[in-house]
Amino acid sequence: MSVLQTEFLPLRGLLVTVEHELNVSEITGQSSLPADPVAADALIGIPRQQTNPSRWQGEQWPEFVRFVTEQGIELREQRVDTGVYVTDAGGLAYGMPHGVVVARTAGQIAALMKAAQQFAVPVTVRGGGLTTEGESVAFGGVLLDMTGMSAVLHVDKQALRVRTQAGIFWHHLAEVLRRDGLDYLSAPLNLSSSVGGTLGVGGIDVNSAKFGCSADQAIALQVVTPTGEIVECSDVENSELFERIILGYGQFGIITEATLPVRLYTPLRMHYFYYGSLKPCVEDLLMLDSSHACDYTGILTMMDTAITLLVAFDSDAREAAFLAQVKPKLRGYGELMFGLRLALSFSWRPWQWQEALFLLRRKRELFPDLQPDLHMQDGKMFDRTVVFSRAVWKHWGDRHMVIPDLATNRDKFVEAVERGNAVCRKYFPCYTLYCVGIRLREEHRAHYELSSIPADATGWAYGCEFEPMYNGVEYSRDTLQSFKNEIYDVGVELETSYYRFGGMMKGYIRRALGDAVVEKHLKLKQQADPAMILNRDVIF
Amino acid sequence: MPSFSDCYGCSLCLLSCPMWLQRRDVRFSPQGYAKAMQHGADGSEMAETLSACIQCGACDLLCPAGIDLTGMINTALQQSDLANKQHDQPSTDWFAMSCDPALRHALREDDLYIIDAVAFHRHHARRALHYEKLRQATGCSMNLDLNRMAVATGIGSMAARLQSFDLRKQVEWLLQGRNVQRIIVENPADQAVLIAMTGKPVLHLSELTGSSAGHA
Repeated sequence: MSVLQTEFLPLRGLLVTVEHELNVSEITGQSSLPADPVAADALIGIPRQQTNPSRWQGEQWPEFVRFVTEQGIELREQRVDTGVYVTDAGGLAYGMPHGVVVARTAGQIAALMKAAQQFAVPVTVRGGGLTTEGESVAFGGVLLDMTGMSAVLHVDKQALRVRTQAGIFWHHLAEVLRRDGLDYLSAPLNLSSSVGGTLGVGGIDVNSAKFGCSADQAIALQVVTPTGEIVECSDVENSELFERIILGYGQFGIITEATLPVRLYTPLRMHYFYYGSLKPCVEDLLMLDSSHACDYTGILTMMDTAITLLVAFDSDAREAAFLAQVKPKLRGYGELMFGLRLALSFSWRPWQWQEALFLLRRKRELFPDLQPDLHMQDGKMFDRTVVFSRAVWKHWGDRHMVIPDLATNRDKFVEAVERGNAVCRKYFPCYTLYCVGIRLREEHRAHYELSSIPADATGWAYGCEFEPMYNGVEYSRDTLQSFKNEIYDVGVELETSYYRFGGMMKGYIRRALGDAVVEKHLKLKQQADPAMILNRDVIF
Repeated sequence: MPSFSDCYGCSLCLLSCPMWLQRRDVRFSPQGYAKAMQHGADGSEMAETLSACIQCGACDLLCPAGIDLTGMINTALQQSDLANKQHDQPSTDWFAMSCDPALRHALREDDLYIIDAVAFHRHHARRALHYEKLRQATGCSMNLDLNRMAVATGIGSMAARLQSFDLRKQVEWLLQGRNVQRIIVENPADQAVLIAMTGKPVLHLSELTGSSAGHA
């Protein structure tokens, strides 16, 4: 047992039990479990395929319920109410809270957190529930459903800012903004992501190379701290708290309101370029981002030999400038030319005709959903988030939204994508890669410390999501988790990171960020959350 | 046909659900019903939440798992004590009248055209593009959300009669941010309430096309 293990375990009061278990295992030598190379504070002796935390046993729960009920907080304990939250979008982690509270006001949440500290009851906060590693699943304790706080409070058309409650889905924020001809800057291509959840973990869009991740755009926040104080914070007010909250995986407070920048709404002028291999496509993406020639860029693969580079523009002028100056430098082809080249290539490789048929089927199924008639007018796409999100759920969503990812600096990106692609090929016959750039803000470097933004990235970080397509095949949870872990292993070996909604598994935190960073933030967490009850087991 | 047990909680059905938009509580949503049923609830235990559904049918179109959510809700209603307060009979279908060329000439940019949500969602695949073209041709606004689902008024629904759906809130949301001078409705049931609540001229579709109401 390492020194670090003995240091951490007393914090949870588990030292005796675990030491006993380890001794039994060491003495008998009968464990069939593989050697466990994961972090020192991960679940000892349990292979990484099973990283669900243990369930909180409900100590002082009746007293806690009595206390909060007396304060007028509605706590739902019926199974039909708690069962709604049994898993997250990942669908690999399952857990039931003891009770559910639907968030209504910051004051209510503050009272809840004070009581939770007093009775040491874990509180798991959930927005859209789009985590993939069980981060928004409560393994006992209270599940706080933030979607109850989802009103837009004020739209300032002159200053181009919006103040909103943080439980709102980005889709509903867009619905309200659109009535004034406005739009948010960028948000995850998933309609049911919540603003608060996204600000805590990142949030990428096909315009993140221009605007950065969603979390980087927050101007000011109202936060309920783990000890129940209601605090306003920003870069200039309570800036240390702001640093911890943004990209802080929900460890240092609950975002109840957010002020965000908005912009005038514009439809998209879209272009697709097709590549026969990953490397030139990724290199062209890097070139495009550094040229600032496009408003939207991203890569979407159909298979290893059919890769799509998406570029789009907010104005005709930007589109025209791109077509005249930058397009000739791209190595991709238009749809017709690429189709002809592919057909020629397949014609003398009959053993690959099945791939050709897959591509044709994919094109027939997917393309109409990426350019639906109801959202296209005069060659422009309206409400891209709706279009992309519905396509994501239709073609890649399922009971298990398994989307591991890697985030790197520019130099490591090609290797990360190619190695991740090889892992996909090993596990699934069909899969998709989705790659985008993420513009970084130097003045926000402190925000990135615990986050998925790699420490060695400057200017842009680059993210790649690896998305299996199940095609009706049922994969076991072990298979899916092993696939994810193997992607994360690539990240560890490349000394880089992972991004996306909560894709930081606890078992990897020390390997990814190193002991010094984790120790620093653990101490901050212990100060901010003495009972260690807020979103426990996500990172610490 | 996928059933409630196939709901994996993506929340897409919440996005256009008038009931959820008012309550902001997942229990008041098709997903909430499905999840409750997955954990053993039947209609009688969900009577309160079921009573708030205006059965506009938008959720059916948004569910990526293809669950017949309206059918699921109807089954649950049969199990509840709401079963004897059965939902509205399908109203007259005004779609044919909306295809009248006279309507294109009569609609103005400052009109709000309120599509009858139930019929629209039931025949969405065939009708959505028609309304989109009508909107583009006339410049009028319509009660369509970003998903291109019709925002239902809820007027005339069982939920409204049971006073478990806030009509005023819904009409306020329909009008928010819109510079509307006239409101054109397909379903005559919407007319009286909208006149009373908005103070704007509220015309039935037939008044623009010159048809008699029975023509549809």
